[in-house]
Amino acid sequence: MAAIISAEGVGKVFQQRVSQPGILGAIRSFVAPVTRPVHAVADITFSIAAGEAVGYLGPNGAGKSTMIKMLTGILTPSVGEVTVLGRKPQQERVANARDIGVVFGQRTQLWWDLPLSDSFELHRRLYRVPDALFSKNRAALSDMMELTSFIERPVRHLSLGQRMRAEIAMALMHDPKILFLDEPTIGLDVVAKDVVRKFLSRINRERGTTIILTTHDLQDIEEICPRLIMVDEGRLLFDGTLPALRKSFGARRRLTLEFSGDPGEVRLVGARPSGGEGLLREFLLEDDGRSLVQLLAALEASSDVRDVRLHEPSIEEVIRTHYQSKGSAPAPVTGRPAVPA
Amino acid sequence: MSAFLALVSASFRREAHHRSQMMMRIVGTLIEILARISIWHAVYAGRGAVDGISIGQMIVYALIGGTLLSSWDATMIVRDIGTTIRTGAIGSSLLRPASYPMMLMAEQLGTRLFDWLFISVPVIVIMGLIYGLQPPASLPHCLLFIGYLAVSVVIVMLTAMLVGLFSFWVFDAHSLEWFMRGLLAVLSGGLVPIWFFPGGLAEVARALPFSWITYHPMAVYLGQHDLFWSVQHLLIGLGWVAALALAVVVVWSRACRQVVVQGG
Repeated sequence: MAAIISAEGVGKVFQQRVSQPGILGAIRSFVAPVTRPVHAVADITFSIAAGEAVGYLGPNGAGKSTMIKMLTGILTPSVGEVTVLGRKPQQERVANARDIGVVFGQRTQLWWDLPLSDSFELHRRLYRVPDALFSKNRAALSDMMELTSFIERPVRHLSLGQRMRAEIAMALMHDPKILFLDEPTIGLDVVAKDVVRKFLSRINRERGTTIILTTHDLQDIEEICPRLIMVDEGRLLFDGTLPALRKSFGARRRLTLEFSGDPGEVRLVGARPSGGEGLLREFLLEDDGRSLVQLLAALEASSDVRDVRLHEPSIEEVIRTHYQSKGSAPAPVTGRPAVPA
Repeated sequence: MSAFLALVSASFRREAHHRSQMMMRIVGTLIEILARISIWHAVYAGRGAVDGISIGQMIVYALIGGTLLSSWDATMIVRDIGTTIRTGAIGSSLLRPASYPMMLMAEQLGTRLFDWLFISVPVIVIMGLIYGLQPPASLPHCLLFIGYLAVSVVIVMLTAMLVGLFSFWVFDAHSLEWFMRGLLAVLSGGLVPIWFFPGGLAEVARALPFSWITYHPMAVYLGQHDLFWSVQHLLIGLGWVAALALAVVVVWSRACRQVVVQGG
């Protein structure tokens, strides 16, 4: 499928003022400010096809929001080129805005003092949504996100969870082709997070809306996004699927065995003992795709196995592995070609 | 246009939610107008007219010039723009499919209309009942005054937007705000009517667009000029509106390239 979003060699440099100590320093930086370039985003290339759901992942300050702002037309890249639906978002900001929906988790787009329904109405007029489409979307989205009970309440009286559901519903009122979400689950409780995640993956599945979301909550990615792009310090670290991420960053599955009697020396081909005492033994498994049954068949021990547990590495572990080895900064790993041929 | 009106109405209704503030603002404005009227009473010291202007005319000038035609809102607009730029909230506006200056204009217009209706009008009625309110010089003057009123509010907004947009380059808008507040207080004729200015300064002040904020509309209201002059200057005022609007558009398009949204 053709790419509807692409970034080619994109970089964004901010000039940050360096404050100098003392009164003299203050005067000096007033007369001739010293600035230091900060590379928020550096040389990032990727492309996203229609209907994909992509997680844009990285720790705080990795340049996630900066990238979203460039894709939504708020910021211009310093170098490189972003294209969204064939347009340069900054140059055609208004046309771009009509085709996309954006939710910033930390910043509301709703009218704080007015009832929620007023914000929706204003949205309809700003985005020139045809009446029939608007009533259909409003009814469907209010139903899916359970907004009906508080739709006439002023936004400032809503809980964070209710507000976020409303924000996402509003961003979809004009049937955008792409939905950008910047940390949509930040600060939400477990139940609200779950509602938002289920909703987003449903929207992606049923309406075919392309979803790009930034997060540092890994479960968001696991539940919504088959593909993830990982960045750190502005650079692209990984672009591909979750299993590919696990594979390339070397996080292993861990097998815990519990024996009914003292097993003595336990051997398992293709696995490295990683601890355990008494009746318990742990192994780190090679990423060779063997099933649990195959593993148990290969087990050599002098006692019967009473219980078995297999831990899939969470993305957290995968990323921790990466950060721990960061001293030796690996080159970007791609699980798939960044630009489809 | 529908979007513009929707924004005007939304910001109007938003103001209506700050009802507790309303009483305080009415009282505050009453005190300010009272102070102005008292000053003019002291200046006139019992004389019927100074430079051909009667005390009754000065009271109307203080009353309407201090409410409907006040340049005070400009400060608030500059502050608003400065805050949205500093906090990065401007990002939310930029996500909407509309021109930022137009959205700004619509929102400020809604606020201003609300203030007129619920603060200026009550203050004019209360003070008018106490001190008497001289009516417009004639019906045509009154109709022209309405045109001038519209020009006044648009010039206030455009000036404020122009200054406010400089927050993109000067990150702290406070300095700009003070500069503009002083400038407008004097040059709009809001503090002292321009006809009391010394010769040279008066000539300059009359020519600048700021005198369309308070001075020219009040001069027309009071019938200081004949109808031909009044129509002619209304058109000049519209010319200034166009020039300022153009300036805002140019500065905005330059500012767009400068956008550095904070945070993230």
